[in-house]
Amino acid sequence: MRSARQWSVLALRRQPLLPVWVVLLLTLAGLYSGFGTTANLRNIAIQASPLIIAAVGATFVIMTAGIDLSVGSILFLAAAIESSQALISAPAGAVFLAIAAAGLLMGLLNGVAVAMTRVPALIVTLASMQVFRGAGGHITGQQNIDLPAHLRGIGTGSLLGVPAPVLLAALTAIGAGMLFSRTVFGRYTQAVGSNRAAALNAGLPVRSVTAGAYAFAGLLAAVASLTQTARLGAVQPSIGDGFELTVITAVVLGGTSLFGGRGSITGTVLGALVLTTAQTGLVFSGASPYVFDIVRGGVLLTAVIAAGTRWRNLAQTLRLPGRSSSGGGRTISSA
Amino acid sequence: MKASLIIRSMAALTASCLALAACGSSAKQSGSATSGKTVTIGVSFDLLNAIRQAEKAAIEKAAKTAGYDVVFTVADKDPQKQSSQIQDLIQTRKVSAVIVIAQDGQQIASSVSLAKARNVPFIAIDRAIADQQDVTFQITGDPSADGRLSAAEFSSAAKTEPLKVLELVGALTDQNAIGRRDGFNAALKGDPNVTIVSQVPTNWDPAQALDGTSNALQKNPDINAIFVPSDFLLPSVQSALTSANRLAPIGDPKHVFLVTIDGDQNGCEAMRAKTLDADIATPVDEFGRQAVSAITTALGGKAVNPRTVQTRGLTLNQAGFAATSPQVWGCVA
Amino acid sequence: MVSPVAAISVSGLSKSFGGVVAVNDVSFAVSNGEVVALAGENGAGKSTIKNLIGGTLRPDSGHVGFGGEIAHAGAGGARHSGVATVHQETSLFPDLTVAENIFIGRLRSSRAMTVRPSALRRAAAPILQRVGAGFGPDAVVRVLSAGQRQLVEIAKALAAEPRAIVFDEPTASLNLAERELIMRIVEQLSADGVAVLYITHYLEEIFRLSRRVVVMRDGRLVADRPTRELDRPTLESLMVGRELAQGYPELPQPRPVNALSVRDLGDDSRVEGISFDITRGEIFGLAGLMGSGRTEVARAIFGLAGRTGRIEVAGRPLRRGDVRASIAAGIAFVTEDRRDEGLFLERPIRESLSIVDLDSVCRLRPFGWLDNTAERHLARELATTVGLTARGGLDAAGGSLSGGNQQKVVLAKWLSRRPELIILDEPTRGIDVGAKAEIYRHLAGLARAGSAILLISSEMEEVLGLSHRVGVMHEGRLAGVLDRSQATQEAVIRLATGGAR
Repeated sequence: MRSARQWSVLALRRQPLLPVWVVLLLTLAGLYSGFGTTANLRNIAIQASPLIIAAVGATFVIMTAGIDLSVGSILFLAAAIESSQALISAPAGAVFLAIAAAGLLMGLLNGVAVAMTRVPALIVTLASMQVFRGAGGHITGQQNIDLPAHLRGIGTGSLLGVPAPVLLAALTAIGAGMLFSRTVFGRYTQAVGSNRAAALNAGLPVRSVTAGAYAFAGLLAAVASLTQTARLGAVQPSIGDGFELTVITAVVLGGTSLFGGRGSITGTVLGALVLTTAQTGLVFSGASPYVFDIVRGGVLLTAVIAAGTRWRNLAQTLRLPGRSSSGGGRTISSA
Repeated sequence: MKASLIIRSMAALTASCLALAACGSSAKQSGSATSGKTVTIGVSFDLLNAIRQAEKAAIEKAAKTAGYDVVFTVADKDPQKQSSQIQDLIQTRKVSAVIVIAQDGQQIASSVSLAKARNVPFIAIDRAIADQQDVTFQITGDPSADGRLSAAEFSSAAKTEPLKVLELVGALTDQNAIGRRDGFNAALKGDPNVTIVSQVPTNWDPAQALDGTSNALQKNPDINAIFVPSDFLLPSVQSALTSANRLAPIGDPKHVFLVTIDGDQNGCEAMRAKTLDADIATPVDEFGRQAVSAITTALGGKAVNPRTVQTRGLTLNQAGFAATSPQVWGCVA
Repeated sequence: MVSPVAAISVSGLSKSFGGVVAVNDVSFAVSNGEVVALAGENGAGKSTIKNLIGGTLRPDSGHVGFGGEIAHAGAGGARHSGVATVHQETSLFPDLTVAENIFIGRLRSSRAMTVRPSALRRAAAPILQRVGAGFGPDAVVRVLSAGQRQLVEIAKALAAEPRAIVFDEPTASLNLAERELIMRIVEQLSADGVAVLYITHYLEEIFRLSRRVVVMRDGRLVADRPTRELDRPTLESLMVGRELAQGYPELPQPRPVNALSVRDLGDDSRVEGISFDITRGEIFGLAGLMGSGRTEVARAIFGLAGRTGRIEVAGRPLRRGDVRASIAAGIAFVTEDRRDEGLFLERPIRESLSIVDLDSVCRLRPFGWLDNTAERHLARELATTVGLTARGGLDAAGGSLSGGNQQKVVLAKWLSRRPELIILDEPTRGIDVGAKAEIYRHLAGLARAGSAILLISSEMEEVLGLSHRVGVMHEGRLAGVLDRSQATQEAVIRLATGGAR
């Protein structure tokens, strides 16, 4: 049996970002009155939601040692399709399904191109990033298009006091977390990223898994788009511009290795929360607008370095079970 | 030299390939230039959005009146792409004049000298160019003046009730955003009734504007006025106000005093709905009219005088709405 | 013990990593002109000793001396003192030339801080000659074979004109001829008065080269004796700490049913015209020089490479180039490159074990929901089957296992469904005697249970000791198949080098 202390230190070792986030929250709440209020925390949660949703999807892609630069553009094209003549007055359920399908399809395009060709994911998604944004611009004519009220509910409504975007983000994170750690697909995704050659040798459907990861990321980018546009109340030509970098930042911040094979959904959620909390904290601090970008970059660098050392030294001093065990070792062997 | 000739033709070839690959290039053929009779204007925009659409329409209207043709390209915010597009317009399509909205006021310099070398009038509109030595004519808005005009609306409103202002700031790399901010801040300095309680950067991103406004309202619930430096951030601000339960028409005690700049359809609609207090409209029709008339002057062999024009915006407020709105592009479109 | 004139002397050396003691109070010395072998199982602490001497690790206590002086800290210190190290996995830059690699630490060859290729070339040529290299200083390392790269590695060490050299498993990935070349170089160095510390698994190399043997076990020094006082069984038992079962396990009787039938197999590049059969319960050894096409045959059968020809497994034809079909037909493939192709190094060991048969532990099939308990059970069972020793349990990362245990994992993952055919490519490369003996025992057991086994190995003895029949490859063709009674070292070498049967 593990003691409570051991358990908590183990959790800390797995998610070094959790204490970072807690300390950030406490510090900001201590510094600025009004930060620690329920209303503000609710605000942070709402603002983090689209990022969480998209970043959770991107985690699957990055887990396969891939990258998806088209997230922002998928978000925009999905929004553009939502605002198109055909959909804007359709019932909400139908619109959401159609957008989800569109996102899945866009992701699948990326995925099939990456899985079937030898072109690096960076190039494939760099290309599709421009294609999707261009297509979105074509549909909207680069105009602002207001969304009707029935399509805004997913961004502004709430259920039992929980804001709809937060509910959606939570469901996505839990669902994706289960898909990630409790299903064959999730396991295969991690295996492909960890060692592609070994995955091929073990007879894994490497191509389908790769394509599936991108398709899932596309689906979630579209879901993020639904909440984002519903919150904005309008589809605008510049939405999602640069979003891919924020998404990748959140995923990497969450401890997922850009080389694949290592990472977690919890980490990504925490990464998105840390980014959003820091952003809100900056507004509260009243810092000069120029400071914002500096802080954002600084947060990333610090957290990545902290995650890189993985609290190894701390863990070793505390004599934790894990990579380097202290005892004589456990032997599993037949008689 | 032979080598330099090869290099130059290679460069031209590359440039034209880039331009071919670029999207947004209008397919309108300009066979007219070769016939030597009709005048064709090459237009290169930095990007395309609501206000650019209006500027495009203004140019096309003015050109039509003058009997000119227009070839239209968009550089998608890429200075390199813009420079190769302009090169293509001048060298391949042989346009008689170019109208440019520069993505980057510095990097456009090579295009300006190319136009000068080929004796093609170079007209800059909307965004200023750093080195104006060889620019035939430049007409821009006056971001600083627009900021001051906005500030004037705040000052006059603050006479009845002191204002605590949230100021949104556009991209810090954009001269217009900086100019509007500086003009606004300078004009309000020393006004005892107006306090700027928070400055939030948006990077011209609607999502950041929404989040920043929500956060600021959270921190300072007593904010009762917001300066929005462009109409296209208005939906974000309205969403933030809605979720904070602060969106109310003028006259309602919950109303937050709002002023924006640009004067597009959104802004005009909000003016009509009485949720927006004032909109400083950019005179886009003026851009098109003056740009085309400058071309006529220049092609006639005369110098354009004055060479640079800064037009300040038109204040559209609730008091003067009926009188002013017909001159605002967003209201007539 | 420590002689004052010793070129390398370590005394009272201890080093631990996060509570695990890797080296515990070790002292020995190497004199000029002497070859001392450092023997021990994987994980005995040999590499740590090498790194302590090389200066890349700092001892917790004790010290390393060179020529009677205490070493300076850091790798530069060791180099300063005239000690060079030849690493096991070559640490060369594949896209640089041989000369550049040899002088990589001292590339600046002119006063103007620039690199002069001609000067590098001139300086590299005599060193290459000294190691008997058949390639020039301008060759790019990428095109060299494993053996040639090892020569570059040695040349790199020699360039510093060291008084002492540490060799770490220099022959681990070399074929017979190349191995011979390396051993001659070592003998020559020793004759020149250089002190040599030679780390190896191969007992025959120890007996041929060394004057003394230092044996380590579990981080401690267990013996430091003149080589001539030892014989093979004594040395093995010193290393393992117990008496090893002698030789190879008894082979079961093959059953007269064909498990694999290969006809006219080729892969369109390296191999062609290969035909042979393996029956159930039979171990078929595939021998040949490195590059003769052994691995290519295995990969073509498994579907990792395109192929021509016909393959039948248990009488049914096999789809070509389809790994999944091969697995479904009951073929298992234990790769020669376990780190790069067999194991998920940063994932829990459990996941590497269960990956092949994940379907068997999943519920709600359309959703592929994993049953954690069943998966753990499966992994534990497989680990038990091969006698896996995992210090951190099955949730520790795969990379934390020793080479021998990694190999056991790569084998074990195939054993949940009894495979019709198991292909093993170099299953004992770089693993220690104890683990080898266990792998041999498992192979015999699997054959007894009815699996056909295709065994590829560079170790002649292993192939001869374990196989019912031995196929010998020569330049992409199967030069001949020898029965157990005919299969002698001489016969295999004759076929492998193109001689008549």
